[in-house]
Amino acid sequence: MHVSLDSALGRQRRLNSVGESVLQIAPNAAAAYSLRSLTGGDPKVVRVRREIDNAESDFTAAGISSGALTSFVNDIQTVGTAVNGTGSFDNYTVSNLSNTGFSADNSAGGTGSAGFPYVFKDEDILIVKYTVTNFSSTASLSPQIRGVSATNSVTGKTNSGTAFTANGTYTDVLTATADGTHLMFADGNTGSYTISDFEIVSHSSSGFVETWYDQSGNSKDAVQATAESQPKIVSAGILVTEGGLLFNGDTNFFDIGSSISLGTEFFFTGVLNRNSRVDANGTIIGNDGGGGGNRAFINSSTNTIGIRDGDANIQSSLVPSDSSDSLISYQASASSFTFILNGTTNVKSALTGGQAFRYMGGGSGFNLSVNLKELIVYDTDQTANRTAIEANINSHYSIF
Amino acid sequence: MLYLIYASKEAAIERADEEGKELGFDYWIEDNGIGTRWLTYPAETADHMWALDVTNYDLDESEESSTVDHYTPLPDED
Repeated sequence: MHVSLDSALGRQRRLNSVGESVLQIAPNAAAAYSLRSLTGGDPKVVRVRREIDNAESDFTAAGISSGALTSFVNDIQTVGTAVNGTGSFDNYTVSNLSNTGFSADNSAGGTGSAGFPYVFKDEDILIVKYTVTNFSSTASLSPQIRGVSATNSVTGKTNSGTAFTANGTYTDVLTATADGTHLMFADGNTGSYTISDFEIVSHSSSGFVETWYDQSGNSKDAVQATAESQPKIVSAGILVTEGGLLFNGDTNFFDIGSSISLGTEFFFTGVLNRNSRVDANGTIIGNDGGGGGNRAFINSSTNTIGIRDGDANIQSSLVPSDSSDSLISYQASASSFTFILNGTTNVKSALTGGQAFRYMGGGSGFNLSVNLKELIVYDTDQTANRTAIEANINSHYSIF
Repeated sequence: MLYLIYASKEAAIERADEEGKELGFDYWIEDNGIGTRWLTYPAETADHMWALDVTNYDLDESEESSTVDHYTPLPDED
């Protein structure tokens, strides 16, 4: 076993070796989560559910940085064979229906619609391209494409595209404001036209984390099997603003499956960006499915980091930023308990109640509203390694 | 929000399972016990029933007539 000189001398480690990973600096983490490699290799880091069809896939740290994750989430779905509108909107006479086009004749008048079955979700961004030929207007014909949620409706679930009045090739950007099932061309004026070469150029969608894999080697994967409780990782086609996993402060949390006993001597550190609060005193880590109880949390009245120990809150004076990353650490040793924010310490008396870790981000309540980028938990005192661990994390995220 | 209230957690999970299968979540497609299983998960009410958020569920007529728009959750522990 490698023992550093500092460690052998009983001193706190001051520096990282070049290229050393966090788990090489302090290898005995009880659990470790990040979107980057904490091991020096290319470990599996997340399992992601894409919203558009609920398909899931695992990704390594390299799969995130390479764009493979966002490509998976933004997968273009199958366009169905064109259909006529129904109900009050079946006034077109349609022909030559395929999954790339159709011909529509609205000589009879009234609002008609025709288009393609294609599923999209709220906040998705679609770029569509199509060619119009045989355009013939009897009276102000000017159809527009839009996303709808049923063929018997022309109420837009996206904005509308170009109101075309001539032959040509058109490209439209459609941003969804609700879930939908079809992309339909509609108009209330008379005339006829043909759509051909219809294609989805791109589909920017959302992705959610079903599993945040544990890189410690202890198989304490953080799992959320309930879709509406999964933190978001991709929004409108790109990694979430502020990065990491977006916990919504309302329903999102993870369960690692069984408790890790931390007792009164432990260390955990994490990188987070605090967002607007929803639930009170959102939990960073805790041991209660309800989200409350003895735990590490952010006080929603003061925005300070705190810990509930022995059923009593211990509050720090440290406020993580709500506009940039913060590096927070909780260092519990036999002689003292210390909150650390970006290297600044706030020392308290040693804990007496003891902590445990099973839930991350809350539970059925006390949900945390943050972008969480990294969380590393030790069930041992890491006073000797703390500054080296934090230096490694800071060198990656450039926080302070 | 719309909720269905169940007398037992098992009954609520059974309905959540049904919706998860309908939505094609990975847990059900691959039948390997991993991946997303539910859209929503039941929460215990103050009177020890189980409330399932069915706002985005495909409900039948009987279920639609049984929904409630709120429930009283168990009190917070803090």
